[in-house]
Amino acid sequence: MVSGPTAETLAVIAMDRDLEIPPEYIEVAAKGHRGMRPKLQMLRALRLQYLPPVIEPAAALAWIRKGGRKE
Amino acid sequence: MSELADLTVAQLLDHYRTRKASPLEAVDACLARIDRLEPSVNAVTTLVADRCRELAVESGKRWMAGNARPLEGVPFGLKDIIETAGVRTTGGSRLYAHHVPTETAAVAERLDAAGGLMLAKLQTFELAFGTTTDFGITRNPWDLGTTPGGSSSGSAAAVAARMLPLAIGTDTGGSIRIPASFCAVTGLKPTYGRIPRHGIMPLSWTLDHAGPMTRTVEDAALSLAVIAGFDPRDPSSDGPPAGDYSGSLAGGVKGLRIGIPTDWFFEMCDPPIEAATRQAIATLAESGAQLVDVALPNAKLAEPIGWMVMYAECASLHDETLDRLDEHGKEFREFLVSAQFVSAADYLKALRARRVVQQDFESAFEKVDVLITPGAISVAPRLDDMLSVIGDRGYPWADVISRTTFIFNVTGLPALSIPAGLNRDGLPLGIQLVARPFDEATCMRVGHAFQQVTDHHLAVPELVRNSLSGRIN
Repeated sequence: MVSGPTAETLAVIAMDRDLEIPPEYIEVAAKGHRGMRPKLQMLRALRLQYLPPVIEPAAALAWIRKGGRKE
Repeated sequence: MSELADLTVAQLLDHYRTRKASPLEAVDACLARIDRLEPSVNAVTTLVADRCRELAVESGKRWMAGNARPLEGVPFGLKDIIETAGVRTTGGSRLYAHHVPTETAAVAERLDAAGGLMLAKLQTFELAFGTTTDFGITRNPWDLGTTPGGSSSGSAAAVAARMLPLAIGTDTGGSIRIPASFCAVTGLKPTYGRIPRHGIMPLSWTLDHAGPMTRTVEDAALSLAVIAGFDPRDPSSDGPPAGDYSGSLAGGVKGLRIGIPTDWFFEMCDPPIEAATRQAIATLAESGAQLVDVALPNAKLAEPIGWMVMYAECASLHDETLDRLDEHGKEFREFLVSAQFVSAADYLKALRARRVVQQDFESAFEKVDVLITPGAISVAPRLDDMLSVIGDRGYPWADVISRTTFIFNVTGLPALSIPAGLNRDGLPLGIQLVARPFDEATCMRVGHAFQQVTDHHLAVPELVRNSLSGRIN
């Protein structure tokens, strides 16, 4: 299991995205992302199927609109 | 004996109807209460006294003429991320300290049109996130050494301190329900889309909700009837027209099936809050409800889903001011910088996975009509350490406090937080009632039934009890 991004990794991402963020802020962000890593890995471990029926982001909203009834 | 400022929305309307008091007298009572307690509590960002008093005179005339509207003459406050034309809306942020909108948010327009009287813009954590604001610390009326929670900090504190009978808060991960639990207030986060978000500073468009914070469920029902319903200016606005929520309150709970989650909600919870929740379950059973255990095996996914969505959308929303990081408070700045590093793949996975969590509730609501859970999992943290104490251990509150609330932003389900007692130190405990999408009526029916046989919602902070003046019969 990877323990999360380092500040150096995030600095490279920031540079690639043309973001100018002071290094000390990136250091704090890296620490935050490492703290969140176990929960993120749990989400990443979820496998959503490719073959239909495919869950798209809009499916959640559609479910609410239908009053929570089955699709 | 009670002061006008102590009356609920329903009681105030009754006083107006029977000519026991006028809207102007009520506004002045609220102003007097604010004058006395605001130095201690700091719930108000901007007071709109003169305009409110002028409108109160007009409201009084309407009552006399017999053409009063549903909330005629009821003073209310708005969390200061809700825009008000001509009245500054700061978002609790230095960046918007002098922002005076030209339009009024839909929810505020509706309250105005119903005869409500906006008296104050209320404190919020910076841009509805974190713990801090550039406008001073808001304190919990139940213990001035503790936080009222947030981000609807001023809304909860003002209602708890009896400065106002009604405030509108917003909730992206629990920002209505957590402060409602901490302050013994009734707080409703309705179904996603139920109340239009037009004119409200966003934090995360997938998760943002607005809702009423009051002292009773009856008042929440009166308020929701006015502010719910479609608005074309909000792309997420949806659902059937607002109903007569007050009319459905009296149904009681006899025969209703109340679900008790077997996963997640009780696994990390301060023991007195779990005990209060179990007691509430027993009370509802004594009132005739059937109890049913329900499994929610994917509930644990809600937190990472919620955080990924909130991060990604917040990053996008604040793109315009990313070069002004130093003008943010420490917490919001840290959040915004971290938000830059969420990948598109993780964001989309989170959006899709919402449906997986919803499927748990879809199954649960085949067996039950409403779910009951703890409200916030700890009582209000002390301001000097901001630790949520659970059992004998303290946790940084931001890491744990949305554990029972975030899931209903992720799923979009309506969730009602109501008071359920006080702990040994006199700090409020809350419980949460949850129903199917757009079934706020059942949440409130159960909550109202609970408030008919208990008196937790009637508890008054010592700070308020000690505040004496302007009493009426």
